[in-house]
Amino acid sequence: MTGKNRVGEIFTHVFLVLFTIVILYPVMWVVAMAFTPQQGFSMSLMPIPEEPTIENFVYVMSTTGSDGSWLFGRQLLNSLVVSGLTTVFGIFLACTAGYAFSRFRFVGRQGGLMMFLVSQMFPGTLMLIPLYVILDALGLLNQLMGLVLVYSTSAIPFCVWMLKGYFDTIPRSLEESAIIDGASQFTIFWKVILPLAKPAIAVTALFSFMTAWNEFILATTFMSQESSYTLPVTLRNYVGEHSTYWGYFAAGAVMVSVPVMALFFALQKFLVGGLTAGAVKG
Amino acid sequence: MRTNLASAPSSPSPSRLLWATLLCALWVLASCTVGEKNGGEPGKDGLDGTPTGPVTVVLWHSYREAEQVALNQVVDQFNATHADIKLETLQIPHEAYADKITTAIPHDNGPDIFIFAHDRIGAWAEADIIESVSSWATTEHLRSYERSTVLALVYKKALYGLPLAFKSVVLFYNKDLVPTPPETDEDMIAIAKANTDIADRRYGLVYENTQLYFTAPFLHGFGGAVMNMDGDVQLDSPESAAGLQFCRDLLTKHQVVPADVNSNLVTTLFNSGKAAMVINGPWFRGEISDGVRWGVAPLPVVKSTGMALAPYLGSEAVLLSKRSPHKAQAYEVMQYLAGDESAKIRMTVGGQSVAYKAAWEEVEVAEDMRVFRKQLDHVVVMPNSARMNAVWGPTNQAIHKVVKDGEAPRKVVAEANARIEASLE
Amino acid sequence: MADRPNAETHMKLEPWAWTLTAQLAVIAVVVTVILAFLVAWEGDRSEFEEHRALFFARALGAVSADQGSDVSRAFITATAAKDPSFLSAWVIRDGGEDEFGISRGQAYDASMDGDEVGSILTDLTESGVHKSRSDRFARSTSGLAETQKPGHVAPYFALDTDEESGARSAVVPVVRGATTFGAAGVSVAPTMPDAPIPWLLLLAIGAVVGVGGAFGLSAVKARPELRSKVLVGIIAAAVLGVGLGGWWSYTSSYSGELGRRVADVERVRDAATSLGLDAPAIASLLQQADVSFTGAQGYLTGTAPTLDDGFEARVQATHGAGRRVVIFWAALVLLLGLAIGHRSIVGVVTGIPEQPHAYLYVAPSLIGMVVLVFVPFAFGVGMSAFDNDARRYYFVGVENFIEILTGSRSGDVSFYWTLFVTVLWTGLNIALHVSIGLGLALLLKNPMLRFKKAYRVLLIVPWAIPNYITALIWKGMFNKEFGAVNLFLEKLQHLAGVAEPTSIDWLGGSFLSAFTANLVTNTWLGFPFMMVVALGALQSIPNELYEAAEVDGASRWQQFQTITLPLLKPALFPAIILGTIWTFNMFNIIYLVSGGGPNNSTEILITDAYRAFDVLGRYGFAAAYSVVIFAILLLYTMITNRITKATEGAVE
Repeated sequence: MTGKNRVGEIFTHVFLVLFTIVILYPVMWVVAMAFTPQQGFSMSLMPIPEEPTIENFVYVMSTTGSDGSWLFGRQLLNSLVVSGLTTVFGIFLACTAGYAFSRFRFVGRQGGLMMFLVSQMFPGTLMLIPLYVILDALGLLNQLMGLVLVYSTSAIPFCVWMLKGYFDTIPRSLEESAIIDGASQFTIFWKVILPLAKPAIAVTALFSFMTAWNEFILATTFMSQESSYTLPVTLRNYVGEHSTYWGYFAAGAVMVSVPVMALFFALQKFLVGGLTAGAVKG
Repeated sequence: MRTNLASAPSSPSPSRLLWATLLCALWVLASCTVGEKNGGEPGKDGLDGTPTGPVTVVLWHSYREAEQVALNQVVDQFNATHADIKLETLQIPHEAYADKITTAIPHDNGPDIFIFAHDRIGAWAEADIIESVSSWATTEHLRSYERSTVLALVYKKALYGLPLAFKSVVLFYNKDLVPTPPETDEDMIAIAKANTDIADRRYGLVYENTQLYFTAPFLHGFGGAVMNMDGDVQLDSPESAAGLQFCRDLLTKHQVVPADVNSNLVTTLFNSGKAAMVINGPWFRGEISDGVRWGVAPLPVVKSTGMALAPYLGSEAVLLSKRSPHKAQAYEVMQYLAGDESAKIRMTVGGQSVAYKAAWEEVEVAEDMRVFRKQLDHVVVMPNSARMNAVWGPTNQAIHKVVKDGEAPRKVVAEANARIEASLE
Repeated sequence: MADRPNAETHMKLEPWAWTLTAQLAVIAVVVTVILAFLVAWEGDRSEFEEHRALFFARALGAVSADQGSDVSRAFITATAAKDPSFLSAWVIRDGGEDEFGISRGQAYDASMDGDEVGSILTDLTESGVHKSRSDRFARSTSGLAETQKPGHVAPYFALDTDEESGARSAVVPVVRGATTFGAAGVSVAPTMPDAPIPWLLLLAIGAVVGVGGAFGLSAVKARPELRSKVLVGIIAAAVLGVGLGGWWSYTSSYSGELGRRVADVERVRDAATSLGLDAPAIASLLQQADVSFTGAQGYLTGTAPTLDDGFEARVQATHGAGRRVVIFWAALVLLLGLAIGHRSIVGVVTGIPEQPHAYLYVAPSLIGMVVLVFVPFAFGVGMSAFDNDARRYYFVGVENFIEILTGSRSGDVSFYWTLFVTVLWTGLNIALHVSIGLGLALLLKNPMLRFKKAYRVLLIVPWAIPNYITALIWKGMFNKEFGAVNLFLEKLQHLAGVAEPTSIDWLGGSFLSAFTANLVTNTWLGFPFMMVVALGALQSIPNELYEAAEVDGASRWQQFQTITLPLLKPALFPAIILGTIWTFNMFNIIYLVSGGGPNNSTEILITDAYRAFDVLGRYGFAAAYSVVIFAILLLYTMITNRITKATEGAVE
């Protein structure tokens, strides 16, 4: 038995390693370009930079504003704030709504769910101008909160659906016995259900963060000062009308992916949580 | 079936407090760290309309690197010498620039002036986004700029900006592979053939052969055209067909160009010495790696027609927003930006081919820059009519069909012409 | 309280299923309809005011051309100076152009403020008014060459609206003999009333009555079975009232319009008479001026006018039709909404007090969504009935939709091909994303596997890196000669002993190759998301089930089929449904990799719509396109919802 398992495990590893290398091949190009001093875009079979250097990273990180302040730092902060708040809103609002949709029967339950779904069907690329007008009317142009609200509303539908689906798989019997123990609605939600839904929350957190972190069009259009720009805006600066500074852009892309991977790494332990023995049996 | 509520995981208070604090901090940061509400508006006057203190003029641009450094220098110099006007700038990534202009200006959130290429002037004039400056700019003053750069800014008999710099494609060549640049198209083909080895993936001439912008010189060199300044579609003609046929011949008959070209490939090939000649614009200078000995020359002349391969001229200008509350002061800034002092800085520090004629005489200019100016003798001003927008898609398709699919040029241009006119109905 | 509180309410399904949807849908539609109506009304009013300005401008132009400068000055005094609604009237002499083609030296030949006559416009110090007039003159007279083509009659040079005051300005050419003398312009303030208040008031009253009646009725609770019937009656009455009110205000304004036009024609005739013009001159003057007033003009001057094709014809054809259509549409939709939700409307009132926390949990997200997503979309739906050229919008009804569904806008491909490509694109993508993502998740969930974390983090990288640069790298990899894909295939072919390896022109060769390139790129970008979702979903399946199955002797595959798949469904379906919707509207990849080529064959609906928006500036058309896309997706979702019953709640 163990022998068979080990062989199976080796096959799995071999497959996974090969697969990962194939998947990461284009990424290796990005990394190679990030470490290449030229601003060109290389095309061949092997993505190895000839004279690796970190000057692209240094350049991108030391972007200064027109008044001499550290612009990169400021924009990094803006991005973190916007993405962080989007994640918080996304999780918080989606958890409550998802729980309501899953557990309660109320007027407009199915209608509400459909509405979230339906809201995703409107092609966003064509709604830039109405959205601009609305934010202008609300006085949220050039405010980070404006971006947070817009990103949250586009991330929430998926989060709600995901969490609702997940809550559906948690048996009602858990809650019922909690009610028998005398717990209030809120305690049940906070202490029983939420911990069991950690995997889904981790997924929605990552998703909300990603929605906000890499978004570029709305950020550029709604912000009118360079100190309110987020990171993707600076990054897109390297893409010009006729020529693109690939070295800087690749370095920026690599730097921008690091927080996402860090977040995923941190969330991984939630992804392996779940219903433990004893909760259902007995 | 009882859950042991007491043993259900409960978060210890300190971490909950931590999360709450983090949340509050984020919220505070988001609300407080940004500038004024709907900031970036054109500077406002005092209550009774008279300027109180210096008037703020906001300038938007999408310059980077050297050009940005040059512009900042000009701005600083302006602010130092003008006490009554404060000039501020905002840089915007090029991809989102046009959309931002058309969204912000009609809602009074735009700049006072902005730097942009001239090809959208027609559409923006019709949409009341930019203001004409004919009444401020006298004919006398306009003579100090290169003529074609001014013509590019005239739409329906009104002038819409002041020209800062011009760009067009020219012929770049590798000095090690091409000792003297070609003067006629036959020379060019001969040199290209000598430098092409398909098996070795070396090519004599590399340019984006499915894009109108880079194919236009060939169209114009045979007497063809796509659209004139008034917005009339002129694609359907034997001359245009001849131009496209020439491009097709470059690929199939002479076999000196690669089959599948994109802008990155052009740079890569030139930098690795695998492209002897390249048709590209002034931005290309920044992409060439140090190891390559390169030169520029004006595009050659077509022997059979006697006409030069004439590329599209792009005139980069400073435009005035229709919603600016200080148009007179904004025009003063525009004049400074386009004028002598600024031109010298932009040319030496920014490497721009400036439109202000006198600056070329007053400053030490590199040889390759002079070539860009020489190309001005044979350019076609890109039409600034809004109708030009409808041209790119069908024409690029037509070029693709002739050059890559080998369809009959005459039929293809007639079809494309009809399609453009249909979409303009 | 009972031992199991609210258990009964939890289990009983009350028939309020579509209340919220119906209500919000009705509100959204009503908002749209009101917007559309207001724009249509404004369009009609605009049309009238503009023709008024045109009429007088043409009259002035004709007088200046046929009778000369002195008579034109007297004419202005006789007509414009006496009427307070005239803001300005002028004739400008063209000063020619300078060497750059810029119009210079324009001078007043006649003007309402007599003291400007003879002065050069740019010299005058009140630069605002005279500058804008000078600009308008320049822009106008540049159109003359274009309009002198044979068969093309140009009734005017320019027709503008001043945004703040609403004044309409018209500029027409003045041709003396064979040369263009210059132009005549007139600016009039609006004389028609604003949007009809009675109509809006009626609508507001109707809405209030409807909602208030519902609340009131349910408060009564006396005869439950009659409730809904009475409600239907109230709302139907409101709708009827709205329709009738709208019709009434429309007709009253139309007849008012006719009267005004006749008055204008008479004024010009009287002024010309007082200037001593003879009957033939007056007739000629009126014919030149009244080119588009078929109604009143036919009554007075009796000549069939020549209409300009394009704008004039369209406006005429839709005169009034817009309003009629909008009113009927409003009534129809309201009745439909009622039919769907009438039984549920009464229930809202009883629903809310019973379960406040449910609404509390859901409300914040819904409100945000309505404001930031539904309202823009309502705008979009309203806009879809309009089309625009560079300067103005005009009502076209369903023409946009007809053009989308029957035309071949990209030239080479029809709408249905693009639809087919979109469906194919979506289906293949989701199938690949889910199978790859789920497969990887299954491999990586094994707790015994070492380096799990490393694999997971690495496999998520395609999602983490900004897709702009990776999409372009993929595009480079698919380059025919220099791309890694072909280079790799070449090496393979060498190994296989093929003498002359063929290289595929991925992006320009054929639909299949370009489509494959797009598909591969998007699959690479999209599977990490599905993998993460699957990883999360797999955690909801307790290990004990697998252990029990193993004890029972079930194989891996059987376990997968009977345990994993069914239990994954509720958690995985959201990702699949939403993923389908996102992929359907995935603009970036198509644009960046294949660019829609070759020859528009790999375009999907959203890229086609975007071209109308970005390149041609036809916002109304693009809005109509988004409505079509939305309708297709809605249809798809309703069908899948029925099949999967995904909106149902937890199962025991």
